[in-house]
Amino acid sequence: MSRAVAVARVHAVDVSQAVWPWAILATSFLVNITLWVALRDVEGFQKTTGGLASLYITAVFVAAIAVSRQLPFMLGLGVTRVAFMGGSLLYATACAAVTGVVLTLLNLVEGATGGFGQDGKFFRVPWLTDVPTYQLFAVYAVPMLLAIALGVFLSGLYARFGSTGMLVSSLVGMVVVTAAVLLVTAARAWGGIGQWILDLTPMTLTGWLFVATVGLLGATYLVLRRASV
Amino acid sequence: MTPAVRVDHVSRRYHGVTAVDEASFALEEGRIHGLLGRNGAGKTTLMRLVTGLDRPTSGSVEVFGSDPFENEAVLRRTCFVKESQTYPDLSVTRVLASARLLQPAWDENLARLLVADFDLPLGRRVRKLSRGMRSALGIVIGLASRAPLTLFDEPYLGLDAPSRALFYDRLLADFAEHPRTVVLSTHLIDEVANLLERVVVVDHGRVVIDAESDEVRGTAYTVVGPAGPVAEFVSRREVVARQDVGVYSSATVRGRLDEPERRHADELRLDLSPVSLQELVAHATHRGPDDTPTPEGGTR
Repeated sequence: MSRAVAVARVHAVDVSQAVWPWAILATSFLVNITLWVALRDVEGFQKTTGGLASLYITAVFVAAIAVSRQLPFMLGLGVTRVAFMGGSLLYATACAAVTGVVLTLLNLVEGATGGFGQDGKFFRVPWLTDVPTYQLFAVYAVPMLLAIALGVFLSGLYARFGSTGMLVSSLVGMVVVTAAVLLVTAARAWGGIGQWILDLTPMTLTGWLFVATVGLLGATYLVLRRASV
Repeated sequence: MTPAVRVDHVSRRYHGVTAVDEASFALEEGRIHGLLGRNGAGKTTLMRLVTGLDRPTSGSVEVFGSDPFENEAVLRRTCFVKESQTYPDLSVTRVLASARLLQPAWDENLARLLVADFDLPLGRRVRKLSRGMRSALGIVIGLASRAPLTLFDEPYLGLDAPSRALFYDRLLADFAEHPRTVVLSTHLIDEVANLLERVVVVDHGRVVIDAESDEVRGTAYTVVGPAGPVAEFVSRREVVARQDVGVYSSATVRGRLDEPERRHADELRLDLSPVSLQELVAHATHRGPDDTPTPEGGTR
């Protein structure tokens, strides 16, 4: 356990990796605010944006790059793969928790200031964040954990199987998705799936994202367990 | 005494390529070992197997008495400095801070001293370091870790001769105060010959020499003199290399000399000189792996 904590602390030494997604988000926010102010007189201008997604998308890449460098570095310094994964999960959980808290606060600020005086919606996402305040944390934090887990998984896939492996696994992924689509069509189940999507609440969606995260973590464990670096 | 590392009939094959072939050797605790051989001989693969970065296809590896693969108790006592080590994209200071967190025996004072010795720019990002500086960083980490098992895989790439000498000096000085098991893989054999207490020479994935370096040094000599007497002197001996320059001849012969033989050489007015470790390794790895004779005290 102490070894995993050491791994998490080494990740924390590299603060820049945690700062990048927020820097991108801040840029996106400033661009949006500028647009809202500039176009405030335009009739029917929708002051909603997908800018928040940039935080999560950047996190996928930051996590992938960080792992591709830290894994060989730490394994050379006598860290086991299991300790590396445990420590990385610890650090990712902390990052996700900070994301949850910060975005919840920004959500409340945005609400209290009438969308920063512009009636804009940046941190508030229609439908997704239309939940009681106490649920906001999970709605913001779980996708971050998923984003990091996805980045780590992709990086692990590359470490284990190389570029050929990445190509093969993305082909396999496409075949599986196509097969699933054909299967659903053959079973005439699209109606049911549509209904399932309509019935989703933000919290059940968050729950499913969490299940996906756990699945990715398990897959990452299987991939990294035998990865040579 | 239990060996720090025991490699027992280990083979490692990758997609039909045999990188290590039935290798067996043991490294005693508290000594400096040389893992020698030509490029592609299997040195790096052996080190990766010893540090649990890879697993053997067959055979067994033991470090401090147990399998190192995913073994926390063993691995936290090891430090492996690779030739082209990947570092996080950080400043030298932060990379050293990271290494300190992972190495329980880390000595910060030694690290500072070495950073000053090698003139490493603490604030510069590793990515912006020259090849030699990056090697120096690896050396600082490897030495300051004071890990009970420290492995250096050709750690001097891009380092100039004075910096390499500095590395050997610091290694010896710190080793004297804090003995530990050190494995140095290199092909600059003459430079480190005096450092090494024991050598393991690999060729085509096989161990061809595993002996005390002093023993290895005495296992061959060079005879120089007029061609006729040289030919007479070496006639019943195993000649591994021979060169004729005009009426003079130089022959490298395997084996040891006793006193009568030395006198005989004297009478024939022949010069005898010991062969350096570098040349011996070159001879041992020059021929096919199957007809390499085992030097005295060595095992195959």
